[in-house]
Amino acid sequence: MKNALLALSAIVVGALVLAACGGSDSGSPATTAPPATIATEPAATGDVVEATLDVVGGEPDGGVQTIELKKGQDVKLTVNSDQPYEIHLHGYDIVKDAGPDTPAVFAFTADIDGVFEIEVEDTATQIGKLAVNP
Amino acid sequence: MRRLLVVGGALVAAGALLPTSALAHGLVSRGDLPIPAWLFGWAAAAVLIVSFVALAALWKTPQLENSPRRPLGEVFSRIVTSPLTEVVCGTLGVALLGIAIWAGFAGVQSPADNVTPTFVYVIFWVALVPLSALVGNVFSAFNPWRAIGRAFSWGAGRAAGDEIGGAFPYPDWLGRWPAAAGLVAFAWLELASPSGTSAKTLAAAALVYTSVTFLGMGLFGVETWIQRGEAFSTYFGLFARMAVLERADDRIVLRRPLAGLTTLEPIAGTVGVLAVMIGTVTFDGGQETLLWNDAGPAIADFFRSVGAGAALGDELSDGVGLLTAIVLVAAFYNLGIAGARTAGGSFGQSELARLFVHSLVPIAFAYVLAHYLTFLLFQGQAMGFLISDPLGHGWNLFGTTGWNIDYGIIGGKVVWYCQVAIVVAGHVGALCLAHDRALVVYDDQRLAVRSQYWMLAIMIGFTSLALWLLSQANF
Repeated sequence: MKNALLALSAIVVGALVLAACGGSDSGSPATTAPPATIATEPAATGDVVEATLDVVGGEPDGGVQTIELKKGQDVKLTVNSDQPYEIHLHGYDIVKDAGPDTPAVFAFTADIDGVFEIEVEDTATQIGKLAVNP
Repeated sequence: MRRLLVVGGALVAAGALLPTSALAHGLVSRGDLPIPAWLFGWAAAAVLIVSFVALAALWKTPQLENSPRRPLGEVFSRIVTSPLTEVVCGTLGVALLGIAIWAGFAGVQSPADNVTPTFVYVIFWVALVPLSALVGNVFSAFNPWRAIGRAFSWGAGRAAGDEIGGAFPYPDWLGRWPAAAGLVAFAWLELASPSGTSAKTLAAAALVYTSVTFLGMGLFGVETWIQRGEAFSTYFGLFARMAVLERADDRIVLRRPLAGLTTLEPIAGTVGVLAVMIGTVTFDGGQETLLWNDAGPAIADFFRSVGAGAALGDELSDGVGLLTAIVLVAAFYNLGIAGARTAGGSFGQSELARLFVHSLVPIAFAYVLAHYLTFLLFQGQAMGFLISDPLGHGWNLFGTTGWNIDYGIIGGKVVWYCQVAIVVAGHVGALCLAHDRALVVYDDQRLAVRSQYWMLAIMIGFTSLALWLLSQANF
């Protein structure tokens, strides 16, 4: 019984150490940089985060990219397209037209957290992801 | 300042090749944020602590095996099990199947605007899982194929003046394998097929599955096929065994949580069904990982190089990933069982694997619920407006067409905590079941404990995988 208790406490300590490591270890899975992330920082003028996606021939230029934000930030997302398309930001459910001369500009406050798809509505092609962290 | 950071390299190219991988459902509008490292660490620690406390402190006599059942009030039992209730529920089930097929063919084809994809993938496939675990085998009552089969054999029996059974006895070796195959086919449609969210495809698949089920019921008898061969009865029936409510003949009885799983008959194919259940969710989560970001396109390229088209290459690559995940889950479980055999006792490999397979059900439940929690909570709301306009033709049958999905009903952090709590709870449930079973199978208490080190390793393995997949979401 004494041995069992000793072993148990050793395991509890070990588990706590593991938890602490999990918290500080930047190399652990959850913090590995995802591919093609647009790092966003509060811009110098005001606190509006700006990001741009380019659509060429209805496909995302450079692949599907993720725009990372903090919840509550103000965002100005610009989508350039060489052809006229309807661009849909899911979740926030904003639809804007993008064309050769006029980009689609999404200006909103990121008040819902989660990962949201940005797509060319006409062809249901995903062109980006909006990741709003809590 | 306008910032654009285009990151080059192979990963980007890989991302471009898989434009729809992460949100392949076509229904997922809000994906989950990956569980952060600190929470992953705490969750893993909790799993370890729970596991070893359990080993040290769990009960010494079986508490779930042969545990008592307490009948509920007679009036309640009579109402629930009355022929009228069965006819009403069965008719409703047939009507829902009919509406799903009709809307699939007659409605618009964009997945989010037609009621069929949301009904099939959210209400049927996901919502029925927690409902079954909570209140018992509801699907059995609403199962449209069972209802039609029973009505048919009742009518034919009256005409012939005799009970109508199946044409052939159900072979033992077939066991639950048809159900496993049916679940793989459904998962392939959902996760690999490029047209899996198309309403027409789903309607056609429902027709095909209906024919297969009628064939099975005709060959082997309605109840036999429903209980062993029918994929969805098997799937929801397993989760329903976690519930405290059970139907015993014409009585509704209360039992201890999870106790229903101890009476699961581990016939041939049961391990296969569980491997499919855990493996499919593993692949669905795994599709969002960096690992699959690399492997998926490589496999797709291989299929293209041997002559497959672009879409077929993607489908086959996803199919290979799906089957690989299932095989790996089965292999891992069997590895743990092989280990447990070294602890002693005179059990054969498949015998021991079947003896403990029921303990994987709470883990499968945790996989499904944690992975599809937000899908259920958000896309489930879409039913509110889809019922008013099932075909996407601009109708407003119930005045709810203008409703929207409220993505604010649950915050990202709460989602994380719920997911971790579900996974840890599933782990605890599995441990309790395996421990209880070990007390029954092994005469020797020491053998029982030693075999449990191996079962524990299996559980921790599956639970860690679940947590890892949640921490990899949406890369």
